[in-house]
Amino acid sequence: MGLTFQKISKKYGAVVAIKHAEMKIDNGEVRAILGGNGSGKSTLAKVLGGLISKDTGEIIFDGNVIDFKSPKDAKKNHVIMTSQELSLFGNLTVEENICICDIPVKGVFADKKKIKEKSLEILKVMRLENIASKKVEELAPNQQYMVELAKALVQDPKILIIDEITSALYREDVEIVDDIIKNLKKKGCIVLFISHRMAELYAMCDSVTIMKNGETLGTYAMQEKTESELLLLMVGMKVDTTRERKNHQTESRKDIFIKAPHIKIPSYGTEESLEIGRGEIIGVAGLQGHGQTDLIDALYGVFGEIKLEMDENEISIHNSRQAVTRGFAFISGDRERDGTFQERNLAENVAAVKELVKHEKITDTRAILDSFNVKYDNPGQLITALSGGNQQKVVVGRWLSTKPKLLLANDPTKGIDVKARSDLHKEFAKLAGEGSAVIMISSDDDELVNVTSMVECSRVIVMYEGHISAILEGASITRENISAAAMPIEEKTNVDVAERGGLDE
Amino acid sequence: MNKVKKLISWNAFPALLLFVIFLGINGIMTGGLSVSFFRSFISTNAGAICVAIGVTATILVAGTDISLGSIVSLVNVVIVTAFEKGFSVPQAATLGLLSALLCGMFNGFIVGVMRINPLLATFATSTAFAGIALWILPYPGGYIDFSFGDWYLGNMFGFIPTPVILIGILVILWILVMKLPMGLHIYALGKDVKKAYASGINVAALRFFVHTFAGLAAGIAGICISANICAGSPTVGSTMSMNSIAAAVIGGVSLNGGIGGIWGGIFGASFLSILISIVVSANLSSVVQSFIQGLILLIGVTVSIAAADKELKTKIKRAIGGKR
Repeated sequence: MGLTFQKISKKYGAVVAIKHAEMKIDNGEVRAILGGNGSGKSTLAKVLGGLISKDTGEIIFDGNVIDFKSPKDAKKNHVIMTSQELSLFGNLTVEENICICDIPVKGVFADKKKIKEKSLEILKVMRLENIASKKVEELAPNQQYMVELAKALVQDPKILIIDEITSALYREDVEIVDDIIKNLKKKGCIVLFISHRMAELYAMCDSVTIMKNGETLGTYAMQEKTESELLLLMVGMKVDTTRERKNHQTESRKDIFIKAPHIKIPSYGTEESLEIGRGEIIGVAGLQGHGQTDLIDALYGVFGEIKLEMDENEISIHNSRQAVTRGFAFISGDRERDGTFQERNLAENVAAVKELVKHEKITDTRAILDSFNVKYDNPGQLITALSGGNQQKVVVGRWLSTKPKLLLANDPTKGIDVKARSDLHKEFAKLAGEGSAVIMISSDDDELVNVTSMVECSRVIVMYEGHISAILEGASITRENISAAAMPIEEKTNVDVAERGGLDE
Repeated sequence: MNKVKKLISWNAFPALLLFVIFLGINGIMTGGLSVSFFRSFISTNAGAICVAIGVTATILVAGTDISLGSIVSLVNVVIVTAFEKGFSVPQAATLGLLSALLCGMFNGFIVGVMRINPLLATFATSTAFAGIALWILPYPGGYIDFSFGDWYLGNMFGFIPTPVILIGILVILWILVMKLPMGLHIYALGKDVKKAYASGINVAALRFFVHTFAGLAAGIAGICISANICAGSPTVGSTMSMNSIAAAVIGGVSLNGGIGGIWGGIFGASFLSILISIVVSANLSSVVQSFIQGLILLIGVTVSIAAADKELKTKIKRAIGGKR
């Protein structure tokens, strides 16, 4: 039986989103769909989920042709989709959000007790019971993703589509998701898994379908192909993957140009200090919500005044505008909220900082867009017309065109494909090579290991409960050391980490 | 302590506070608050409160309805004309209410099913409804039997003033709706239409419902006003649309949708009403009157929006508290 896609195609106006998609998935199979940004995988997921209608082709599930007119229709048939954009409502509580698609009733009224029970049951599996009555807008992004998944699970899926959900999750969440998926498998549920993180795909999926330019290229058993073979199929050219990397430089003298002795971490009420050298890439690692975001926000003046020593001058930054004039740049993985101006075109998005804040003219928007390999028609098109990865490249272009001295990046490669990711890494390395510094948070430890290996001078700082628990340099920057330092209580002793000392006094 | 905190952080709290303060000012100016003052206050302003309840419902789903004032006018002329054509008072009032419901359903159809922007749609229907009202009764005039007024100014169930019962009907209806699964759906829709659709919520039906409810509220407002003045005027509700939106905003209802509740609309409208009565009783010239009204309205809207803005709050706290 299972699920079969036959000759699916979909056009948006003149843009072909899916040219020809064809695949077959068995019951209880976990299928990865792999492709670059804009390869049509999200569109395919939306077609299945009833969010958009297809132009041609048929979808057959357990022998019946299915053609959902709306998400409601799809949900009735237990085809559930969790999306990249999230479907949660910030003004409602977690439990209300989880049950919103099918609110339990007592007579005609909503049954509040049942809502609570139902959502607690699922939250327990995720070890998130304590957030049940919080409003979703108060949650960290990765918790929101977990709630999104909980919302899907509560609907008893027969086909579950997970679109990019793991790209913002941290390691311990990923393990929970892994367990949940194994459970679904046992029940015979089909899981379509869209993710860019190869390690997760290998851990969770049985098979993989490659999509490129709106076409399904082929389906392989997950173990049949190596990572680089898959990437080769997907982008049609060789990409530096996270596994192949240069050796880290061992210890080189830093040319410190920014000293930040008092960085406030409001979530924990702690203070940290950091010295930043020219040409340095500083990776910030740690488990979710241990103050990494606060560290970057504080440097950017989000929490009010911060005193810095920059090029031997005492300066203080009160807000982000002053930070920008001092040559700071800020790139967030949360594009929708902190990155793009959605109703504006590419040229305006690129010009936002340079023209509006720094009052400098941008002479050639196309040159900037081209230099960052953005795929676009013309600078006048809306930024929302681009795929996620390309949108992020536009945002990066906006900031790098201002020639920042310090780039602050908060999980900048969230939800973008491997090719775009390595493009961004190269840009960061280039910036560092020109004598600027980059501070980058990532929820993906491999990414940090990789990006810090690209420059001569680099560190990874690991945060734990609002403090820097370890600073790794040179050869000690490894995935294992980062993991160990992120949970210092358990394994601190048997790992060779450069313990930070003398700063707490 | 916890309850006090909860009250203070309530969306509608600033409006309640403003209402109480200005009620006090009014009491000082007129020499004490009496039961008869409350009776006349509620019977004069029940209409405005009902319209504010109606418009709050539409704003909660991130829409709006600026045709409610015109519907009030229409209800008024329908009741007067029907009475003069020989219908009894209850029959005439029922006809008025039905016409308001029809108007609301029409709005709901255009906004919900045809998916026209609610501001534009209700702007257009507002003009149309006002036109129909003028067509039915071109000049102010006409008359309704005073039994209507007596019923309205009297009590029901012995001691509860009729206008309070009429407002109560709307409030109870809304509270019941909030207890349905639909209640959550309304707040979800107000937050984000696309997500609501993706979550399988019937967007068109919800929009249809809130506009119908707003129509009903305008209908009851029309009955209140008609009974209070016992005469017909085709423009009686013309200023009510915008006033009611301002009332909702003062009451902490976010124009972006999804935040607030009908109590906000009720307190906001009460505050505006008491404000108007203070300015009127101060014996100022009409020019100064509207200037002061406008000024206080502006302050009210600004304060309530500032009170709801968390970021602004922390900024102010930081400015007052110095370095943290």
